Amino acid sequence: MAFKTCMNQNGGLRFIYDQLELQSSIGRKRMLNQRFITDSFALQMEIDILSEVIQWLEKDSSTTLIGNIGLNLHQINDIQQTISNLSNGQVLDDIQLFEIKKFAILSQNIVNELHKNNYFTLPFFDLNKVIEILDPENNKIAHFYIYSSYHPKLEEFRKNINQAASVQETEEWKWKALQLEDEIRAQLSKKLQVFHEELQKNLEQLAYLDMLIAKAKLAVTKRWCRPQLGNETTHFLQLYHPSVQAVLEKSEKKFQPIDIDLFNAPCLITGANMSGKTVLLKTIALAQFLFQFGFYLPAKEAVVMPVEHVLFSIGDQQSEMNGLSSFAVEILNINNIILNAKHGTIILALVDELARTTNPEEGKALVSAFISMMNKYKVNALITSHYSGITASCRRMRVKGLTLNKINEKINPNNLGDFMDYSLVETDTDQVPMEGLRIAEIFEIDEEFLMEAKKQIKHE
Amino acid sequence: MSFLQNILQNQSVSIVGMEKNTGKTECMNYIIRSLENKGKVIAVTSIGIDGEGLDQVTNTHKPEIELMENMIFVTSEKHYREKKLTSEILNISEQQTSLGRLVTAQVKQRGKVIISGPTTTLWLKQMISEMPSYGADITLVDGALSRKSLGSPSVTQSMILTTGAALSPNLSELVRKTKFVFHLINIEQFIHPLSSQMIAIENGIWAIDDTDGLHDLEIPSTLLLEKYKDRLFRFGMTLFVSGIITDKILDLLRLQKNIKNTVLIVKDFTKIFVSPESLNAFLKKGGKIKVLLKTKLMAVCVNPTSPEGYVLDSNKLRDSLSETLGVPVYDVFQMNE
Repeated sequence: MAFKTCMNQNGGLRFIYDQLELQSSIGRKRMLNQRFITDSFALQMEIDILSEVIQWLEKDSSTTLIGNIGLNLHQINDIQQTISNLSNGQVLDDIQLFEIKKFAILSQNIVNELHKNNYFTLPFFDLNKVIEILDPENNKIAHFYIYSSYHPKLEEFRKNINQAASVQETEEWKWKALQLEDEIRAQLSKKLQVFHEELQKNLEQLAYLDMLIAKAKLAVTKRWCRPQLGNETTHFLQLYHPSVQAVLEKSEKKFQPIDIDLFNAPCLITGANMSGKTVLLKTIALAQFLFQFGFYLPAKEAVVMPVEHVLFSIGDQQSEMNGLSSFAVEILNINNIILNAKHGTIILALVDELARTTNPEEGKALVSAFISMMNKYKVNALITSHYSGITASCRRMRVKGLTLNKINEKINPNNLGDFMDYSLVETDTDQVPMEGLRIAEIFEIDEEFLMEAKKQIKHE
Repeated sequence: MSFLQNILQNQSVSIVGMEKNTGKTECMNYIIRSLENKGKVIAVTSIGIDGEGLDQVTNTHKPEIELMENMIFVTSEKHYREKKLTSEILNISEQQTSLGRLVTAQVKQRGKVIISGPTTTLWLKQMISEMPSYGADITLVDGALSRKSLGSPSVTQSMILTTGAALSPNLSELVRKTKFVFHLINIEQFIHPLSSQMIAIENGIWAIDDTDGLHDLEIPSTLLLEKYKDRLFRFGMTLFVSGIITDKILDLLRLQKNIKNTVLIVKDFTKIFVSPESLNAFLKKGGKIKVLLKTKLMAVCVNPTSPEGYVLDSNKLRDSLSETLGVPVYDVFQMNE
């Protein structure tokens, strides 16, 4: 699965992408095509290389270095098509030859910058030979045409064009010059063809370098942490969701960071309405994606178990699947999770408010059954629910919810967040906190209606 | 000050033809030949045309221009490949036009080439600002009064307008029409913190509210105004049309009761395709019209010969135009001789 596909389904990832200062179109393309890395060894490598670039960024001297590299990267065009034409043995025209020359010069500039700063981790090919072929007058600038110095006759033909006595004569010399130019283009293309692999590799490496620097800059400016590979646990300390945090910051609020440990077993999370359960799931999903797309993480500490798939059942997907009710969409997603679990795929399953749209009796049964299945297949699953009396045995956590320590201040819908404690506590009861009515009170719902609801609870 | 000295006061000059065959190409060629003798490096580009294939079909309004050694030019990949001169490529854009990317090159051996250019105002502005880094002293922009042009020639420092018998074989009619365009060129500029943001907008009709908020009115085209009339005044009476305006919108606005507070903003005068009658009625009723980009009209060049063969008296034509407009008027065909 590519970053682009994921990003289109996940607003949190899009926000991160928009923050990346990618300099070139090849860098942007590279990032969008980045695969979701599932292999532990490859992930470790990716993190190591990124951390090396970060160390390198943190040095004082890095500003000019990064600036210089950025300037060169910024000018690189995607010459993939031209390289393909070259490798197929086609004769390149002036525009394509110019592209090769400019690319080789920029590539060489960047490599020189890197080597000057003792940075050798990413291997690059030396393209000086390519530059030599396209720079017969040794100008060292990225301009190009069929220079007269390529062939002694060419200079002569061109002079004759200017000095010709008649229009017909001019046309004749022009025709001769054109033929010779075409011959030279063919020779140049042939000479360059042997370098197509070197050009291709450098194009890929430069795209990779652009992506790495952008990721590193993000990690440094945002003070993100280097994630570690987990074997049997995932552990987050002060994890946050960047785009949700950005929204909160606009109204001068803060995201309460999440501390959580996850294992290869289901975990049931309960909590009042508005206690941030959905955001919790989205944050964990985002962290898992970022980790496996090779980013540092928005947390103080992070140990993450790699998975093969992150599977969701998080509301508001109804519109995406035409004609299916929300329950149908949900149950198909759940089934997908179960099938994957049975198949032995390593997954992270995130399920929000399972079976909330069906009747509570059946709902509870479905939740219990799902938890049992997740237990049986040892799936790292986070399930949120409102239902009391879910009997299946599993780890349970509760969002603390409304706190009373600021009792003097009047709670209203706008400052409700200030009274919410979003932290998670382990619990062993199958009863969920009863805060729905309190929150309804805060929203100043019709009193008669509330009284009636309270009566109903006493009756039960 | 002579015509050429006047031109050299500027870093960029656009040459805008009121009609085909008003001598725009001749004017351009004349300037190029004359400046070459003065040892100046000239860069040439053009306003891109919307819609592919248009050039190939009509092929009349995109004539080849003769360029001399050392001149810089910007044109599309397609036209670069068709060039009849030798030139060194200096750069290639990443952005695409319908005729391919834009190639910046320097002439090594003189010859002819078709010039095409950036398709947006911002891109044109950026291109013009890059030219000095290639050694250009002055940039000439080939512009047109066409519904198909997207960019605005008004990003240049000064402008030359070409007019002539092709517009009308009747002298007073020709003067009247030219005067109308002259009025459009002199429409007041809208100076506002939002203007640079507005220049970048390529689609739709927008409104600026009392707190300087910019809102897309979600009206797909001025052609559909009647249908979406209720949306027009949701955010007040300051409206911005990113494309062209026609009589239709002026007439509609004129009939509203709050016409006196209406301010209609367009990108520049080349986006105004209205009849003098509609514009006058709109202005008389109290409506205001403003432009985001405004440039100084430096001179008017005339071609007294129409393609059908009518010939106006060059002296008479120049005199009555310069008297009406108050700017220098030249006949480049006579200046050649």
